[in-house]
Amino acid sequence: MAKPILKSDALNPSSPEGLDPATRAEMELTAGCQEIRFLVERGYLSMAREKLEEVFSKGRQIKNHHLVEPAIVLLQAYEKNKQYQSANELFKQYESILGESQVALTLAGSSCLNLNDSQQAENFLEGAIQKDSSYPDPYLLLGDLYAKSQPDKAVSYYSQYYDLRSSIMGARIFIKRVKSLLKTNSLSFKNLSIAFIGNFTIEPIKDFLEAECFKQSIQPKFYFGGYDQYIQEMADANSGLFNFDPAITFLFLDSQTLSPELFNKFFDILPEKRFHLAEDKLKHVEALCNKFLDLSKSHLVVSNFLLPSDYYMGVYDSKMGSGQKEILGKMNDHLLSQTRSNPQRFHILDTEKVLSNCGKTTCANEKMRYLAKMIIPDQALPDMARELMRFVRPVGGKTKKCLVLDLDNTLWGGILGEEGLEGIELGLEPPGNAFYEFQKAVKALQRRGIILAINSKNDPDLVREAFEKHPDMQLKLSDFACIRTNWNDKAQNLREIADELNLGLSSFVFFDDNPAERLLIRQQMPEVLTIEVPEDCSEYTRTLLSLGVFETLHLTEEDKNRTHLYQTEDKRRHLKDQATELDSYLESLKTQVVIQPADSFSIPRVAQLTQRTNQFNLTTQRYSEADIRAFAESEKSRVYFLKSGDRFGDHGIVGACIVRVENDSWELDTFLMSCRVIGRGIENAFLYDIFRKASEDHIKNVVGRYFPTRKNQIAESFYPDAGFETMADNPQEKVFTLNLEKNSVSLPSHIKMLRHEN
Amino acid sequence: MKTKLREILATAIDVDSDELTDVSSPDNTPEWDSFAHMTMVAAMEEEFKIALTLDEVKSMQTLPIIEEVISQKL
Repeated sequence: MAKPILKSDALNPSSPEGLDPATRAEMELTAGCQEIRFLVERGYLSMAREKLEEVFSKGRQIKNHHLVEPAIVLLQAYEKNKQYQSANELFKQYESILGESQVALTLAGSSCLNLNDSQQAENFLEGAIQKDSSYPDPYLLLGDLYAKSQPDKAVSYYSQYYDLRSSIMGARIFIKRVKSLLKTNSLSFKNLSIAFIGNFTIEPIKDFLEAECFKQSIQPKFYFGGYDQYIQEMADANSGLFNFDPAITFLFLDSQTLSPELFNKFFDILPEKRFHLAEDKLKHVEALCNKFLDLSKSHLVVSNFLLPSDYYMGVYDSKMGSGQKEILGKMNDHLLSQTRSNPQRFHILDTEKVLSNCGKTTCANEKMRYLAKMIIPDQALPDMARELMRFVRPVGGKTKKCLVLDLDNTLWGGILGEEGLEGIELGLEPPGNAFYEFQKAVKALQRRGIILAINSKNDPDLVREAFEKHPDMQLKLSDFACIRTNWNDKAQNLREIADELNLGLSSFVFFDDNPAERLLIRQQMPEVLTIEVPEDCSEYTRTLLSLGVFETLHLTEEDKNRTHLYQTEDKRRHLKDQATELDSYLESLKTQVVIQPADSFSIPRVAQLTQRTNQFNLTTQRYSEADIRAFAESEKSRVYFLKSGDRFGDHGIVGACIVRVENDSWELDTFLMSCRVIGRGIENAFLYDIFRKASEDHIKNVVGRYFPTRKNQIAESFYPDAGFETMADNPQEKVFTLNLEKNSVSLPSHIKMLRHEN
Repeated sequence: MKTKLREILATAIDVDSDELTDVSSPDNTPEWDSFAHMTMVAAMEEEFKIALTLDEVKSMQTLPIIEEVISQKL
């Protein structure tokens, strides 16, 4: 581009008249802006305001966006001095210009908020988000706006703020806001104790993990073991770690600190001896871990070792035999095989993967490593915290259970109704290959027990044809537990899906390429996790896989079969619709149940039921496998599980009851049924059999309790309906008792009780 | 600039920004421990989009010094 020729006058500051008018106006504007900034910095706000008027009146002919910046500086100063009225007036005067800037809109929203004009504040803040949805501040203020009236919504806005500003400052601000909400409001957060031990500095993860926990309605309590004190912490049952009684413990080990004799003299040691040195250390760690797992109920997650970004020997490292990379790789394999000894509670955290994803050289912070022994650089901490949540979520019972998918431009490219079966993009050629891979990723979720559902505006017959006939379709209709292809509003459809599957809205994830549909669901059902689906279909798979909300730490048979279980439920419902009377429906189901004391095969599932069942759960006591095992082994308690099935298939283990024995009475500590089977008399059959077992044990009374939660109203009248007498009726607890001599509960006639499994 | 630095420092070491003066340092501010110091460094690097060196991090013991170090980087 040709530069304007410099006129000699332009070099002489004493004669600006020589400039052409446009350049002169721009110069005056620049000078004016600087003047305003200067005045604001020194606190002369009214003078700054006057100057601004002047600049604006002159500057209108020039590009408007130049004017926004000094106005923002002044708005910020008003905000800081609490002169909200002045800020408001300034904004209104120049709304046509300032309304174009997300920063100015946010400041205007903030001043309205302080002047208690919520309606106007919301308009400005929503406007700011519309201008730039990645600017974090308006979300924070919208959170403040809803803090009093709708704390859940406030948390959701604060979370969006943190998502856009996942830094230490963002995390601190987010945490402070949520903590003040927790103090004043009855948010239903789940308490969870999380411990960290290891041989390097990991404390800086705290804020990021706390922020991630708050996003999932978990209120964490943290314990950080002393620096390099993990051996004492894990081996001594009286240590701070044991006293803290964590639900989940993370163990972080740095290879160099773990085995200095190996890594400090790496090349002085004979190659064939190197791994043995490491192996000795790892065996010691393994013994420690096993001891800890024996003594504690906690999950133990051990981080794998980081590979360096470069090797001392360069490419020759791989040729020399037992090089750095080979040794560290073997150590990681060894660690992984150690965790197999206790698949339920011993897990590997793939820190090496997280750091690779962040980019080891991009996020490296070597000074922190030397100064503070921070092996994991601070820039990687937000991602590390997200990775830790893959373990924290399932332990805290916050795993999502169902993925609801759109079809057009989500599972395939293009619109089926317009382009037809042959026209949609799906296959091995781009862009069809992106959808092909996305379907494979979805299918993998289904394999590990996640329920799939379709919520799509589409013609049901066309959709069926597409699934049946398209050669590259990876998913089959039978992979979906629930299908809604119609022209109804998607929120209504989703509500029906939730009803049909008998799952709370907080169990759902909604994946739809259409931003309008996402907005609808976000607004009407904030409990549903609505994914911000990227515009580019090539990002779909990565987005889905990186969510980390579907994690399972231990797969049970029920998990693998879940879709089938829900589908047969669908068929049962169908029959229910047809059956004119409930009795004939129940009769036609041919339900069979078997009730047995828990054994080592059923204990994991019983524990899972106590952790996951929210609705038909009288006391909502959450127990780990170790707890259940302790109950089952103790003389003072019994654990029974109920397995059922009918003509459509096996339900698996769907009920659990824990009894505490007190002299001649049985107290039902836990009585729960999976809501899949509620309403068919199975719960009564269970109670009937518990009474029978109690009578055999010469028990006189059965005591039951009901602890109300937000989700278990369905079970409230279960005991009184079964003939229990109410002994206490408080808001937090109802106590019931039943004299077994007067017991009149009988086995429902349509249920067949088997003594043993067939 | 100074106000911003004070705010970042206050957030990082979790004290009220009014409690911080020009003579506040890790020696006379119990909350300003080594962990808080690291948090502050991370926050400064993020806020001002700068990278501090090991020596600078060690030297940043009072607000005036912090201001000097940071303004040289901007």
